[in-house]
Amino acid sequence: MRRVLGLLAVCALIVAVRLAMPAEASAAAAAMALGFVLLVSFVLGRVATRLGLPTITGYILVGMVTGPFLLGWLHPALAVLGHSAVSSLRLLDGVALGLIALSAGGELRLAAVRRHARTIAAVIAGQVLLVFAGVTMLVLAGATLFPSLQGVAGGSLVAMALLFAVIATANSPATALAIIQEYRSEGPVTDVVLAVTVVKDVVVISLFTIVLAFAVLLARPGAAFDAAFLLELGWEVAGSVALGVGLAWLVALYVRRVGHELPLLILGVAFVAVAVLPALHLSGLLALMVAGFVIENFTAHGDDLIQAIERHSLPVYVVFFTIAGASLDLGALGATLPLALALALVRGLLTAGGTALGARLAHAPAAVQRHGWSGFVAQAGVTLGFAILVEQRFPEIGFTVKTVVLAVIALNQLAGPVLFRLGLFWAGEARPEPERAVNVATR
Amino acid sequence: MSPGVVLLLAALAVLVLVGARTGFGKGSLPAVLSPLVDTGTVFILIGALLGPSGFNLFTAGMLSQLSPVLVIGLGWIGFLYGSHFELRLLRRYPPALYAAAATEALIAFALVAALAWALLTYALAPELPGRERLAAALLLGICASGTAPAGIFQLGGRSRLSADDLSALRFLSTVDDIPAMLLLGLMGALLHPTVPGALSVQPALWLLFSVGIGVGLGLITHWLFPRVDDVRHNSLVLLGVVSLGAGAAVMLRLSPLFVTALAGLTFANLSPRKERAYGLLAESEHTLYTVFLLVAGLLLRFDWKPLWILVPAYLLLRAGGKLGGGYAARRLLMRGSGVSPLIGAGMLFQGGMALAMAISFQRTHLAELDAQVTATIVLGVVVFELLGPSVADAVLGGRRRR
Repeated sequence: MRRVLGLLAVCALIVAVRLAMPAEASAAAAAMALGFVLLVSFVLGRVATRLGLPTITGYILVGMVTGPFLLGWLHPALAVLGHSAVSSLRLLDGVALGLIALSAGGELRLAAVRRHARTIAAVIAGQVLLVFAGVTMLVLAGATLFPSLQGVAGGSLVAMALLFAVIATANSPATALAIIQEYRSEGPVTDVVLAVTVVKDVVVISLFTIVLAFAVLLARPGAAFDAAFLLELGWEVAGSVALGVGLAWLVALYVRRVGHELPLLILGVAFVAVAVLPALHLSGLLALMVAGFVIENFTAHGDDLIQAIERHSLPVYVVFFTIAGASLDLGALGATLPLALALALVRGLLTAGGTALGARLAHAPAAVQRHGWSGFVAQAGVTLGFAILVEQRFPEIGFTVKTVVLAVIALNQLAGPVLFRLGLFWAGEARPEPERAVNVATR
Repeated sequence: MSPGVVLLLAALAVLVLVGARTGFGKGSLPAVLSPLVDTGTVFILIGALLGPSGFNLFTAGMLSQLSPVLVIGLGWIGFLYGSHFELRLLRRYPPALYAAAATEALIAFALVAALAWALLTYALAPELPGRERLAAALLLGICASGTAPAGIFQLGGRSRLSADDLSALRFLSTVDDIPAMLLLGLMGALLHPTVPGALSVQPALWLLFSVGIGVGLGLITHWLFPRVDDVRHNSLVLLGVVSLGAGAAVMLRLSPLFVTALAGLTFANLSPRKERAYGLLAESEHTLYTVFLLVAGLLLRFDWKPLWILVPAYLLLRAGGKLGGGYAARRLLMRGSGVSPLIGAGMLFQGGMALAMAISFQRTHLAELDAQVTATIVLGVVVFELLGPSVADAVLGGRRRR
């Protein structure tokens, strides 16, 4: 009851301010939007937990409802998280992604990676091969079936199929990590899902760069093959890994010598890496994942890092997933529903098949073979980044690809967290919901 | 945001980290430099060097990108300030002491505000609109009226002050910001700027809105603050409340400090979980103030010639106001106590709260004079922080020897 009162009061305040003052894109508006996101997502995250859903599903729903595509569609004034508010919170969004990458790397234990190395490699291979082949075939075969693909033919169609396929192989480490942390799960499914999503990011980024180069040849007859992208890819991966090791060393040095205000340092590192490294053609996310992994496994400060992140990261995660919800283009979902549904379904089935096949070939524990797939359904930041890049590189087909991908992300991001939660419970690796657990502990 | 801006922000963050580490006075520095570090003044100077007045590494455009952090920071400071005042504990002190603190603060406010207005109107800026001059004078008066308790608490052990004086100074400096905070709320309502297309109501209603939002936010905090001791969710709710409150107040052109202070006050007096909230808020206090000191330095601009008249005038007026206010409070309300009539000499310290007050209003209520008033207040903080201990010791320290 108290929370309902609080929620109503927050909404009343926001409505009153929006009625009293003209909409403006200012620091104050950004601060107010942030406060709204944190408080409303906090309450609805709890409601989601009560309903047996992951809290991040609550955050995503808050973003969807208060974003530009639902309440904003009814009336622009109702969109508390309208386009300007979302863009003003983008800075935090970037920091959140950096923090999640650092945290994901830090959660990876070398011992667990070694123990499941064969499974990790086999699952990645199984998923990438099956999803890539299956989605390519679906798009090629469905060119005449789906309205979104009509008018696209020849090399452009093949390019589009390859781009959809490579984008479909991507996962969301952020979602996997958030669910793992929420349910404090431990066990083979947890280890394999976390390791696969993190390592697969590197594989998928590399694959995407290669496919992008070939798609140019297919979509634009007469275009010359430029092998320079391989050098760029080498620089991006090797440079980011090296920088990640350097960042880890710096953070460890700071903890050893200063050891004060660690959360602020971590936020700063995440912010700088995500904002500056892309300008140097390096991947800030990869560098941070490596940094987290090195700090956890090769220095004595892994626990300090993880504790500092966990203690202060919740607001950042809330903002990240709420903005992800507000960015889900429901208009695009409506316009491309048949193709988006088919892609999501085929991708889901093939991901499950690839996971089961890989796990079986690697003689992974039965739980991984049966329930591991559930951690790979969600898609978020990296996938969205790919879609935006495709739109920029291919003006002729890019818009269609982006619109369909946004719709697929919307479906996967709604289903993914729920499925992974179920998977962890089926595998017996999830613990009870935090609030219930703490209550029991305090009693 | 360009990589250059990000790197500069990173440099700023490093300074904040170092600032938080040095703890304003734990370093082993030469005697000449130690007051600068002890008081945190060094961060204002570093900010001034980096900003438009120095090497211009941080341009005005870059500074505007820091604005959301400042708005949230103001909310955090306001909420923390308000949550100090638990009425149950405040009742332990006699009303005369509160009256003394209010007298001392209001005399300093009135003297500085009145004479600053006269100076601006008749000498320094007669060409500016009357409303602008009035807002500038009131803001100077409000910032002049409070005392930073940190300086007095630092003074404690190593000073030659009598126990009576020290005890009075500690109490007065802890509560003499209350009138300033109330005046800030009042000023936000009385001088509410007109915004095209926005709601237009009487000043009394704006004041009512300020109080309503503040109390409402306190209730929201009470309703939403988790019952279970969970640091992650506790800090989520607090950050949400201060961001919402400060953002809403600035959007409505009200004082974010006043609104969030009321929220903190309401929460502290309603919730059995106030200690947990206070602990979390206080954890970041030092870092936040370091940010504000640096930003205050960045905001300094010396390109207005009359500033060199306004600053000395402000220093003299504030010193006079504090001495006069302390004298009046001692004579009227603390008779029979062992407190010196010159107690005001121990109340020159200023710090982060004065800076927060200046920053909270310069953006919404001042146009032509914003940089000048901020520079005056910042320089005032620097001078009073540096001179405060010596003046207190010289004027009040002799009494113990006698």
